[in-house]
Amino acid sequence: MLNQVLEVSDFVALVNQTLDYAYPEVMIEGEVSGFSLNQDKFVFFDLKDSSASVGCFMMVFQLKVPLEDGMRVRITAQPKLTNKGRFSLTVRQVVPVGEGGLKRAFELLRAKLDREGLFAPERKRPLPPVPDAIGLISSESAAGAKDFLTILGRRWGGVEVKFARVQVQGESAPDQIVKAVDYFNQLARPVDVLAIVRGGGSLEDLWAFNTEPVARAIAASRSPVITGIGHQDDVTLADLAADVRAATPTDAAALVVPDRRQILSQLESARGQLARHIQHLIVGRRDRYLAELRDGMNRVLSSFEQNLSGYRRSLMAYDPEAALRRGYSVLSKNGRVMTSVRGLKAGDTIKAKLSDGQLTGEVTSVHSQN
Amino acid sequence: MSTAKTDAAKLLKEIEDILDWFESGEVDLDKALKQYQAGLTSISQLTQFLKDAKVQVAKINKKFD
Repeated sequence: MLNQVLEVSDFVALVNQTLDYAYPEVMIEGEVSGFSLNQDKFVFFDLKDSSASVGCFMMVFQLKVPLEDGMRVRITAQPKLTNKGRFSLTVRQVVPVGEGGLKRAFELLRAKLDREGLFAPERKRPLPPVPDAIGLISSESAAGAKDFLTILGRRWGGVEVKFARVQVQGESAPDQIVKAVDYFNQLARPVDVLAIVRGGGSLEDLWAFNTEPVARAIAASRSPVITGIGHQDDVTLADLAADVRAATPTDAAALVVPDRRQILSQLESARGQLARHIQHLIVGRRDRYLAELRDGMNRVLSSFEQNLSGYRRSLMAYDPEAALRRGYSVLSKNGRVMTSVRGLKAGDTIKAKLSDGQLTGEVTSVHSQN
Repeated sequence: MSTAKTDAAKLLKEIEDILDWFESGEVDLDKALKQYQAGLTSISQLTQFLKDAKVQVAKINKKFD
């Protein structure tokens, strides 16, 4: 017992000093009751179990999860006696516990962010068909990151992967994830897609991805974000805020890059189509030219043939023998062919050529038709 | 093809010249007979040339079928 008489405020200070020394920090689990918010700055609630209850106080900015009466939480706090002599816990951190508590917190935060439009489908951006650079946010030791990188390499090599190694569970995980997203967004040359992956785990293990700062950082990211968190059935707020949600890290890799073999096969098929098309064009044109060439040659031949028979007909018309055979004869005097009676007179000796011979005679008289 | 293109052209020119001679109306029976004979010979050669050309074209066509 102290023999010293104390002032009231000194007593309160002494108790607080003692409490601080004995219990600098306590972790208590209990159910929230009488939750209230004062001036949007101060949070008050009681933490209780079946037989006891203790008052709690904290600043709003320290409250990272939505609270409501009946939720089971684990608090980290410092016991304190107020100047009014009231015992209270000054809370630094509140974490929902148990499936029920986590689910409730998830639902409350989801509803809140949904109302803000953070998960709206029209906010979702498509991923680039083939990214040059990928920002990967995950834990190096986690199976999720290994799966992601393995599938990525198998499907499409040569993509630059910038790996931001973060804790994917535990108290500091949300902060590290947010900083990693911020880091990628501050790059002078932003990555084409941001992949946030983590292997499977309990709801508690995945909790970092259900925190408000992580969901907001993802929604605000400059680069489109794909998430592959947990297993098929796990849907986190990070998934809802992301542009694309993949069921698992493996699926995320499959959605981020195309399959090289598939693309090669598509290219091969396109090449075949192109070759067939070109061949078709060439063959078509060749056939047309060939036909035109043949027509041209045939026209030349047939016109040559016509000319030839024309010449033959013309020449036949001049056949001198034919005229003689038809009864005409050729008269000549002194070797000169006579085509007129002029130059002939009675007594001239003339020769006449007929079809089968010639004869010589004497002109007895000359009669001109004119 | 035994007859070159220049030969065909030469023969055609010969025929045309002969026809021109006949059209000029000159009446020299001996020359007429010679010209007539020469013209028919040229026509016969050109007919052979045409026949050869047709065979050659058919051969070429077959090569490109």
